[in-house]
Amino acid sequence: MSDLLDWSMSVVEGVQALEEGIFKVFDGVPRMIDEKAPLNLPGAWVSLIGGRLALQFGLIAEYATLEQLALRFTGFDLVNEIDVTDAITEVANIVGGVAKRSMISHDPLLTSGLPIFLFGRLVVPSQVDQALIEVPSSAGNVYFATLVQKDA
Amino acid sequence: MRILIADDSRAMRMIVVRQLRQAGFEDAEFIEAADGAEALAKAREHSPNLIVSDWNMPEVNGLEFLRQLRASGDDTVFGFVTSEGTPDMIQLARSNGASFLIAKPFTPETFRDTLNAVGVEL
Repeated sequence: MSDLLDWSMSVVEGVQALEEGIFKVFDGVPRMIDEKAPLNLPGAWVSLIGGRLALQFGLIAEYATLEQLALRFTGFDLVNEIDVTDAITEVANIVGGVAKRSMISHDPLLTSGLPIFLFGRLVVPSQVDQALIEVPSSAGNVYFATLVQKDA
Repeated sequence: MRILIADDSRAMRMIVVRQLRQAGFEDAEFIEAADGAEALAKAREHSPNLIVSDWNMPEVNGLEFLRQLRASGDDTVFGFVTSEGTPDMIQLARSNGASFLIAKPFTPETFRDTLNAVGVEL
């Protein structure tokens, strides 16, 4: 669980880093919450696999919230479904990238895959540990979920 | 000046173009490609003065794009703008002929300072 906690703290750093650059998409303070991830929500997922860590990391929210985030991220006046999936996978990739860079000294082999966008319910094995970060926003709550296979 | 932007995200290509315009390249001609294979073809077709590429892309990724470009004898100034950016990747980028690697999220100042540092002139 320590690695999961370290990862989650790195994700918080990633969200904060996003706000310091040109990608101001959130307007709330990220906080870790002790709840199961709302996996019925759509969003973008990135796999990260290393020598110590193997996890799925996702940015999920109600679709209307994702649309608002995409509008902020792109600066477009209107976004279609392709724009939303494109922008949200990119935001997840950026936050995950910051977290990965922060964790690389713990796990030098950590490698990320290409992000994917899922509209439907994510089916996960029962034996997973979860960590959830909530970012309250005027566009609606945004969640960063991390799923890690429990040790056998 | 012609600048080739390679990124599988249309949103990110647009953001990079916007940043480059704000950094003083408002008169540049921008050429876009959605993966390394398309970027390689457009680099050969348009002979850009600067190439800015993502690292992770489908089909041909950014590193392979750079390797193929250099193998063909093309020495266009090439830099990565990527969510990657671990020390190993920076070393790999340099050893394959990249001039810079900007990790996302970036600021406009990062973009401007990096391009100035590698001698890309307006």
